[in-house]
Amino acid sequence: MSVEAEVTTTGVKVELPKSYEDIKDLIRIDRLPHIWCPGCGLGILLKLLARAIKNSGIPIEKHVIVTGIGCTGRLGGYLKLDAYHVTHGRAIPFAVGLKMANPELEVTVVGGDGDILAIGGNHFIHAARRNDDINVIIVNNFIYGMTGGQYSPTTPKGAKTTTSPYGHYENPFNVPLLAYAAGASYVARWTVLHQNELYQSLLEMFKVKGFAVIEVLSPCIIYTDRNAMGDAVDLMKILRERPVIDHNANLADLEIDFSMKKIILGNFVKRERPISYR
Amino acid sequence: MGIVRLKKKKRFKSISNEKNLGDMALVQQDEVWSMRRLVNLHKMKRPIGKIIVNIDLCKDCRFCIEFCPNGVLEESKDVNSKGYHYPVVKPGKELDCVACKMCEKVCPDFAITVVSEEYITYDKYYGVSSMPTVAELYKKDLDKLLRPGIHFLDGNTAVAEGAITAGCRFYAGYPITPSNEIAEYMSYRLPQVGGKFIQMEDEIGSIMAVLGASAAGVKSMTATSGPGFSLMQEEIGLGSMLEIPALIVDVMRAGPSTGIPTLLGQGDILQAKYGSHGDYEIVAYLPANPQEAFDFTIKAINMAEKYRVVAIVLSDQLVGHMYGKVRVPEFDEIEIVERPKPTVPPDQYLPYDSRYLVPPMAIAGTGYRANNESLTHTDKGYPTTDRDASFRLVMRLVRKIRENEKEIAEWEEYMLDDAEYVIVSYGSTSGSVRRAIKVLRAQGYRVGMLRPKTAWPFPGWVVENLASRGVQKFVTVEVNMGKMYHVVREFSRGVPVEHVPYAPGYIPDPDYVINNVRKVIEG
Repeated sequence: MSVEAEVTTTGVKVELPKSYEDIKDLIRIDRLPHIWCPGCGLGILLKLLARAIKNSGIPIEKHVIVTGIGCTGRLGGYLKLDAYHVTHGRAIPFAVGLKMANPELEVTVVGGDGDILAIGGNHFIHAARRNDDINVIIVNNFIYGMTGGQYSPTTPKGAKTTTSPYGHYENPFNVPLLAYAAGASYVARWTVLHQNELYQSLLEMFKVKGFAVIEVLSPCIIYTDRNAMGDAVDLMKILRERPVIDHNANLADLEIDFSMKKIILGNFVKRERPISYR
Repeated sequence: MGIVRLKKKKRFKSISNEKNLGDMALVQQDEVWSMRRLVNLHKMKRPIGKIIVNIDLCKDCRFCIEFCPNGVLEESKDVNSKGYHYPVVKPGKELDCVACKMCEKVCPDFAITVVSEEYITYDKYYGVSSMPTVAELYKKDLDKLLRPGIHFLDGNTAVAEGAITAGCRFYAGYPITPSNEIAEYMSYRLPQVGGKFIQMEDEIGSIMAVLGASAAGVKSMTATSGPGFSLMQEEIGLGSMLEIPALIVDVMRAGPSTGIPTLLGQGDILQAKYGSHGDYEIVAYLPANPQEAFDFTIKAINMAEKYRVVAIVLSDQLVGHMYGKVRVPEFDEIEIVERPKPTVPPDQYLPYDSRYLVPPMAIAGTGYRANNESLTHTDKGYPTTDRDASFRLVMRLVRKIRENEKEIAEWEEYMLDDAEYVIVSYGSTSGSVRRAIKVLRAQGYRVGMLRPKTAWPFPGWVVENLASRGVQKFVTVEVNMGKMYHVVREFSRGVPVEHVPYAPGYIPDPDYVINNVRKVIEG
């Protein structure tokens, strides 16, 4: 029996431009173009993460990516690593098991705000409490994108989504504060536009012993469409103009409201706490 | 309770002298429940047949092709000198002939001869490296395992020790009665043997950590009971889809919902197989005493590794808390199965290679960089909506158990040889039924018991054979309102199946079984 020929999404043979020569062996080129919408920030994170993994100083075969469900859940599948695409919200416990069974692995969880903070919220805070030595990247696009735009735990008060047509009533999570309070060793927030900082932050994350959280703000056309914010480019413009980088910011001030007037970025927390196992 | 039992014992002794009880020696042998040794099948040899066809004698009656139990033969494309197609060995089936000579026997034309001069071991046939025994695998740690010999353990401890003997070195769980002894014991024992224990925040986290640890190459398990088992259902589907071996011990308690945590039920039988969405297959064992709890845990871990499935031990509260004799076999008698490992270099490796029924499994961190996908995926592990690829994947997930069900399934036949009425029972309930059958036999009813040791795959062909042999009625006795009843009905070929419902949190008394079975028999 012959092995099935690989079908790309468009059926077109894709080659990476030369500028991506360095991460060629980390991206599953035969799967490109990827499934994400035009204007999605995940592609940027994908290549940054690939570069960071490449230059992390840890052998590539020791890197493991675990993803849950959602747009962000698809990210692991494009990385040529040991990748596990598991069920909704359960990426963190799966990663905890991987890391415990083989502490040599560098386990990274990539998930969306809904995946990690809503259905996986309990696993998130408990992994932070135990200070399990895993890395978690939360891609925050303020909405459930793949299912068509329902409100998520980070949707700001007042935002319109398919399940909050009159404006959202609930308060969103302040992710860095939540991660800090739960016990994470490393907490940072960047946007997909702040590539150098995010890249350095990703490298830092691999070095941290303990639970490392990076919140990555990412534009989503599903969110901007509903809220008359133009398209993804307009949200990107906001992410370019508004943010203030303040590493020593008071964590309680980090909430992002609907107007997005105040977006504070930075590497907020780096502390040493005993990890849950050796 | 104690007094009642004593009475029953006396009655049993008094009737045991009567003639119609059958062979007493046989009964007593049965009393020593599953003291059977775990035989290392992998070292056994079987003949390979060589089928020689005298082509020009063949008249294309196709008998041999039809009757070959292993499906070795097929019709040729060429014709012989008379213009008939003749049987040839299917490509790839050269080693499948076991020299049963069925084709030789059914050939009306004297065209077939089967010779068997060569032998093959199980290892070679399945292309796996020799299956090691515990003695070979854990040479250094042997003194840390439960030593061979007779022990007095409760069912839950027996499960934990069985798992450690089988190589389980990771446990993640969430406290739930009546499975707690397993977690407590594992937290004490695993660090001694170099394993790891974690108490997670809930059952979903537990099973996910177990799957993760197993993906990292460590045999892993969790234990839970009804409500926790319900929470784990989605991840049973995940384990089946990612094909990660794992063991779940479900110490069944009375339900529904929180039910009676401290008392038993047997209501999770169907949930174990049908609980998660979509098509998948699992393996589930039904221990009836501490000895079986020990043995079946080893078997379940072996099956999980062999077929890359989630294996479940459906223990119950009574088995879990029942103390009994557990014989630990010598370490060179216990075979240990390891998951198939990839032999090709990473660039040629396909994580879900459909050329295999059970594809080799790359361990995380060994350089294979495989994409493990919970979406329907291609051989390479990429998400797909392609018809052929999807169908092929689901077919394989199901086939790997269904095609091997006769090898996996186990059952006990108790006084079935001349039985007109067959009681189907399992787990701790079977003890009551055993006693009831002795009494009913003494009263002149020809009753026997079929006790499935594997709930899934269910030995349906045994029920079918009994039905076609002329059994009058099947009666299912279980601590629920009819679960295995439905499964037996599926195979009963029109023979009436009756259920004796009982679900108060205890196993039925022998008297209850006797009265109700008698009612069923007498109509």
